[in-house]
Amino acid sequence: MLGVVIRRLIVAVPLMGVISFIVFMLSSLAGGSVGQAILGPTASAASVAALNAKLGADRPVLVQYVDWLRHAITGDLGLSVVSGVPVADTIASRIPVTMSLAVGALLLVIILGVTSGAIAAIRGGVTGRLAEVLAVLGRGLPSFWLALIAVLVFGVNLAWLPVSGYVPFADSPSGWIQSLILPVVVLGVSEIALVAVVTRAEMLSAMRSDYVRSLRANGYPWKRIVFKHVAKNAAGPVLTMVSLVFVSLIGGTILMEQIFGMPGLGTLMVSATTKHDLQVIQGLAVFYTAMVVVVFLLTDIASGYLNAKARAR
Amino acid sequence: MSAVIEGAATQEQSRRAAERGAGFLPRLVRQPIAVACSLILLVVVLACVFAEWVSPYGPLDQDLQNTAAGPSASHLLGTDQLGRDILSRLLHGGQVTLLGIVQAVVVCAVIGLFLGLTAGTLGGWVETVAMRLCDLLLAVPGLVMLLVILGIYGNNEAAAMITLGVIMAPTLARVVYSATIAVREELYVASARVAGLTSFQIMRRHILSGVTGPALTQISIVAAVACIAEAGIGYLGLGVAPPAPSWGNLVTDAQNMMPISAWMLVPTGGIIAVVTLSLTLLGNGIRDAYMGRSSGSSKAFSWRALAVTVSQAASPAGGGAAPLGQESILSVKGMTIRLPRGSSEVTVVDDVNFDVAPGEAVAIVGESGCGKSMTISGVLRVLPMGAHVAAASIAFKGAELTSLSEHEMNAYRGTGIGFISQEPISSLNPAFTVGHQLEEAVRLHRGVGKGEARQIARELMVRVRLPEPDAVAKKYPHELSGGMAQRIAIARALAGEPELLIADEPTTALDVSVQCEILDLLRDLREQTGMALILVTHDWGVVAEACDRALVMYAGQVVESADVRSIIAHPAHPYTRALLQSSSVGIAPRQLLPVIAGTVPVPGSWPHGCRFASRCELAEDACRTGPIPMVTLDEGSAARCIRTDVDELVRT
Amino acid sequence: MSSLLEVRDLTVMYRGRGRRKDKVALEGVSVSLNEGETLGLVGESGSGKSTLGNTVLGLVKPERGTIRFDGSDIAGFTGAARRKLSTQIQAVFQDPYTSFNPHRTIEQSMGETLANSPPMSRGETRARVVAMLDRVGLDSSALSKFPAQFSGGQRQRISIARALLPEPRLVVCDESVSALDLSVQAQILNLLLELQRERGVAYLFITHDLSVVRHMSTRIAVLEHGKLIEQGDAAGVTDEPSQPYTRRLISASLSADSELQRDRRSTRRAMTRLAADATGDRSKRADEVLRTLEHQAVTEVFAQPVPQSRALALPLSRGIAGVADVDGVTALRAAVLELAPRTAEAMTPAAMLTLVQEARARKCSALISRGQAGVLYGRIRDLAVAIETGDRARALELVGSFDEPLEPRPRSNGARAGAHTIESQG
Repeated sequence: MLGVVIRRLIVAVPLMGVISFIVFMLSSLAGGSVGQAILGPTASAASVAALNAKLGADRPVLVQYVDWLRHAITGDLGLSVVSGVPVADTIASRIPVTMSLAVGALLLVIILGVTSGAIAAIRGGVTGRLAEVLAVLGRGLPSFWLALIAVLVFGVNLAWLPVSGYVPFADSPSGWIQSLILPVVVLGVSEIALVAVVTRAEMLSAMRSDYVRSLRANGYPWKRIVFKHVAKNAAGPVLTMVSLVFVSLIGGTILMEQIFGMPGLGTLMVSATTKHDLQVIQGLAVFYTAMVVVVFLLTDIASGYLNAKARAR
Repeated sequence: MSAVIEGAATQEQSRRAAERGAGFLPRLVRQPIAVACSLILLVVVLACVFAEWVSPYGPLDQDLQNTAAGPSASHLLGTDQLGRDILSRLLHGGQVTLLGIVQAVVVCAVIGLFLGLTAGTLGGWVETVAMRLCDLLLAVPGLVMLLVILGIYGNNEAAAMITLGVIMAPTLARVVYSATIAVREELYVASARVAGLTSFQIMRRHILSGVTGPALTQISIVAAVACIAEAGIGYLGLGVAPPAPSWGNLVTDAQNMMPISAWMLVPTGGIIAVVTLSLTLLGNGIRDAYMGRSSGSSKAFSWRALAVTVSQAASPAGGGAAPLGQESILSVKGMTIRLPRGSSEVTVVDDVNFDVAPGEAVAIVGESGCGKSMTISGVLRVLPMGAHVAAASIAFKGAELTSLSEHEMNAYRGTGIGFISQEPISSLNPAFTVGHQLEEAVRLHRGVGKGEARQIARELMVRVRLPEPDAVAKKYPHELSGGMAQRIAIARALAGEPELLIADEPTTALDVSVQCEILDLLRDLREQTGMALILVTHDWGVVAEACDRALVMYAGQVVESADVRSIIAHPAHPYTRALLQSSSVGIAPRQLLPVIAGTVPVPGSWPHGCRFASRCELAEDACRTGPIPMVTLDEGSAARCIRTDVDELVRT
Repeated sequence: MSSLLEVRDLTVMYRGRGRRKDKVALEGVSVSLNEGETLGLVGESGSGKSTLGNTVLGLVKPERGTIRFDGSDIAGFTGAARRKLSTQIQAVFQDPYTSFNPHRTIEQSMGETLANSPPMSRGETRARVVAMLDRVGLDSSALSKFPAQFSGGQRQRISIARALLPEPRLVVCDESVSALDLSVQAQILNLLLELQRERGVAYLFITHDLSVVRHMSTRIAVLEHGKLIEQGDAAGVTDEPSQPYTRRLISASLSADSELQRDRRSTRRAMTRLAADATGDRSKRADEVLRTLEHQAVTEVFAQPVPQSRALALPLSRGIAGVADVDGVTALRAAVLELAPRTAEAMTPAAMLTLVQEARARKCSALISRGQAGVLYGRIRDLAVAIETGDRARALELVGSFDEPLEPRPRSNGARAGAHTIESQG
């Protein structure tokens, strides 16, 4: 078990280095210096050069990268070239918003997706068909568009829920929940059916297996077969699916935060992108990657626990 | 392939065969949804490409009389806040989006196919490096990376879409890779190498044909994702700058117009939805066509559908009974099993009767497709989905099983009747240690506590002669050899102390020496416990080794039933005799074996008269006119043949 | 007559990837096959029999050794040279369902084998394919069909037709009939025999089924764990196997002949009991096991389908029934040696004869020193206990000690220490 974790970490740590390096390289290749980006296209060459020198952006790109990396390891992601605020602080202050959204949506996806998938596998009938249709729809309908419809229906027409803003949990737990309901549901809804389809398919393939036939023939009660034997075998692939869903949810938070006006990492990302705030972009890229890596790591550990064969590998 | 689905497999094959008769494209064309989606996509693409000519207005033309209007004759999809025609803007905006999709798809396809094919065909370190690279890229969150690129390159859509293509490539590479290695292991690739084809020829003829379907399916998904991503970028205002339209920024316009009119959300989001849905459904269609499934034909399968419907039929027929004067432990009367095939049903077991005396070992012998596995599955009710069992009576120790519900059957399964299957390793759950599974069975059937269960499980393992039971108990099924796994499976079946053990080809998957050990074990266990045995097999050696009495099945019927010694020495039915002769026993080496021409008829195409008539040398007109009854011969043996008298002559 | 195929000292390794270790699939195997004959390769799973076939086919690269085909060493052939051999060496594989590409028609699949034959027109190719299909009992309507439209037996016919199309001199049949039903299997075996008679093609016939290999082969080679156990003409190997492994394989192969079957069964069962039964009171159990074995040693000899061995067994059984224990002990020892074939010399009929003679000699000696039999008996009892308790090291040590001169130990009933040694242990 420890071996799996260590092997994953061996891959994960360089990965973050590679990502940050690529981002660094791309930004240097893109032409246009940091100073230019800050001062705008109309600034004089002299003032740009002066600013570059002040920021250390006139050094070779590798030197800059190594310098950045040295600081990044200690948690210092540099200063935003636009606002002058430390990037790490900005990111840290926005994590709760994004995590509330992503984790909330993930819980919704897991609970509803797995339950409906299991019901479809056990009871059959229209549930399974419905899940398949919804999965196609969920993949096909753009989430930002769904969000707008949701805002229109529940926020504007019915006025049940706030359509914008984020209330920190510490300020008002009920307000926090209310501010999260719409974005979380919209973010999660398209993925629920996907998880349901995978759950159903995996459970069905386990149900068709030889060992389930043997268990039935040897008189095991159906609940024990389904909720113990089938469930444990289906859990691995479902878990992998859930981890992939989480990655796509993290991407989705960017749009949701933008639409629902939430001060999370996504809005920070979008504003940094429009302002070409490379330090922030760099820091966010590494942070997002780190999140994904952690999720994959946890998934690996969990599937190692579930699947003896994976552990042996 | 497990024997339980032998009947189902044949029909599945025949159905697929009919579909495979045509190539991949004709099959795709036969899928209405895929065709409709292709047409929709074609129309959208053409309309966008020729937007200059097709669209009624220019993308920036303003009709200030009609701002924020709904659909009308002059503006089919209405106008926006500035009075611009939405349809025209959609068509022009589509050019941007479609170009983005093409960029992403091309990049993704080139990289993904290259990585997947090279890794899959070359193997070695190339494989390792390529797959590690894919692992790396998979951990990159897509939308974040797009924003990074846009942040650096300043709203450069092409750069963003190319990046998207790169990010999506590992998934495609993995799909292509696994399809390639699946094909690489196929015997037909080995055959092609033996035939002397070059690597390039093999790649072109064999590997590509195996990769096309999965790759196309994945590419259509990539296209759908690219469409949504492109629109998302536009929506965030990071793509094409207004006033130039794109599908994404039209949604932004619609959002801004929401306080005035919500209509604009419909066409702008709608077109994105239509394109992505069409791409996804087309992908599904390609997958189905490739795998030889007709779309939507997969019947709703579920746990509930596994429960077999059982009905009680009238008129028990004679034959196949246990020797007189013995109370039978299992008595099957007039059992018929039907399986669903397409929209109809097909009979796979037809009016089977047999009895098993306490302590008796009965073999059910026959070739595949004759219904021997189905027969025992019918008794235990573990048939494929949608099966229907009709029987006059299935009695276990006098209790009528046909009237029991699925739940009530569990009172007999495991405790009265134990079961072991053909594939020892896959008959155990791969997710639990074998010790745990054995303890579970003990606790379930004997109602004892954990500690005691462990003790009994250990004793069972000793009884089935597993060396080092404590070490074996900690192992998972895949860590065991076939013989050890089969011992565990037997121990599990013994946990309920059954009086009848049903074994479905228990040694077919094992080496000969292991086969002997397992058969010896079964024999010893029977001596110790006095339990009866039903053993399904196609091997006469196993019959002679392990059984007292044999039932020979042909095309769903029992054709002969007799004591093993006499059936081997004096087979009464021509099929039994031919089958025995087909094994090379008693024939001089390198001389031609006596053979039965032809093959077992497939369920559904059984003749009205004797089912063996077309392959039988003794057949005469009377054999073909009607069903042949079981004819009782001497000493409790019977044969479904009206010419056993002639047989006698032929035999001597 | 020179051999068509001459495999010398062939070693094949499967390279382990990642943390998996390298695996030796074949180790120094030498076999030969003459033109127009059939060499049967038998062995259980993991014996390397398929690897040998695949190496001959060029699908696996050997580590060491030579494969002479028609005089030239083809082991190192690659690229065009190897591809050219495809007209000479062909194959029929086990699974008729996966040996054809499901997306290609029968004509396309069959035409493939002619890739390296002299170029011919489409019409000629088709004519040859049709003629070949006709020979295996299928008509020309098969050409445009897909593999899925045929049954397993039909596909195996097409496989054979495909393999024989370029008129090869050697066909590797890798478990070619194992996946087929009995009646179809017989049809295919007949077809292979007929084609061999017509065309003089040689078969390398790989199978796990002893009765099939006996029926098909002129020569048989037995493999175990990648090593060649024995090789010889078919009748010799199956009727008078010289190696215990082969004997065990034969005693394990089931036959519908019930008399033979019973003999083989009883032999096996006593051995199994000694090897695996670990229940009951140990010392009492050991005696019981020993008694069974004494009887068993005789049955074992009887079980061999050779008249000669029956003759051997008779004095042996009389010896047991008679006065001294020594004969029984000797027979017992024979059975014990049988259990540990890799630690002791093989028990050939000749060796058995020596043992009987020895036993007679020892019976006389035993009359002089009654303690000897007891010592031997004691050791065997220790061995039985060691086997029971799974103490492998002790068991091996004891088996080894049989070849040392006997020294009575104090606890044995005969107390005349060092009085006598028994000479010439087998």
